[in-house]
Amino acid sequence: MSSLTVVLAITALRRNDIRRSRIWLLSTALLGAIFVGGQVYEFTAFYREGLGYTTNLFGTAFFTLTGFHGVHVTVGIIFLMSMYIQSMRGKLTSAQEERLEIIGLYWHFVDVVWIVIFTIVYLFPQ
Amino acid sequence: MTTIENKELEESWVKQDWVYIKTALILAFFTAIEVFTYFESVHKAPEWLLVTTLSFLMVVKFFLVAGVFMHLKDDNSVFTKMMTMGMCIAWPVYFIMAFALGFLPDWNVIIKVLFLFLPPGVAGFWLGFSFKGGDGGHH
Repeated sequence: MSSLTVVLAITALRRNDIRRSRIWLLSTALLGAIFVGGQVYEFTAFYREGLGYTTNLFGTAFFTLTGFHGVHVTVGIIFLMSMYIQSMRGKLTSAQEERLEIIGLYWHFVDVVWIVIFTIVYLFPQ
Repeated sequence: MTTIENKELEESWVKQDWVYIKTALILAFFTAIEVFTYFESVHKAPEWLLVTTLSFLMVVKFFLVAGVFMHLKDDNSVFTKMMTMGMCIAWPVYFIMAFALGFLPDWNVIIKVLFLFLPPGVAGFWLGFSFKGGDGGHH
């Protein structure tokens, strides 16, 4: 879903609809924050139930894969918020659309990586 | 810019937004199918069938995001070919490791070989035929 909101932010900026672009930017950052919050909850729950980073091979693979992904999402949220702040200061208009386009590509890349991680780590029968 | 040109531009933007929304809905539908396989009744299906279905959906979703949201479909086709080449290498490398480490069920060796090499093989054939040869001369 956040891939959709980020492209809508880009297209809104392209047509110089700054207000909508800000709304979609914030929505994307919020969806990312919900994802990271879910990860924090999940990591805490697993740790309390005895699955740590060094417990077994699965624990190491799980925390490394999903942890690195969480870090990338957090970096993406920082990028998005910096764009939002620039927009609020009037420094993000359709003339600077390329900046948001590049951040959008980063966000989509993080998204496609999650598509693979989600299937392999969470859904494949073990 | 004239009013008619403005209207046409606005219509093209709305059309583009709808393409994105429809893609997101398709992705949501595929994700719902994936999550549905987690239910116990479906989870009892043969493992090779589950893994193959989930892998197929994973690749389709991957290409949808890359093709539409990352506008790969509108870029030069060489980028699509480069990505497919990467996928052809990544697929067997990742799954050989997953089998070796015991992350995936220990299937019959024929199913394993088919699973590992059939998808990249098909994609490889497509790549091979999609490259347009020149007249054979050196430039």
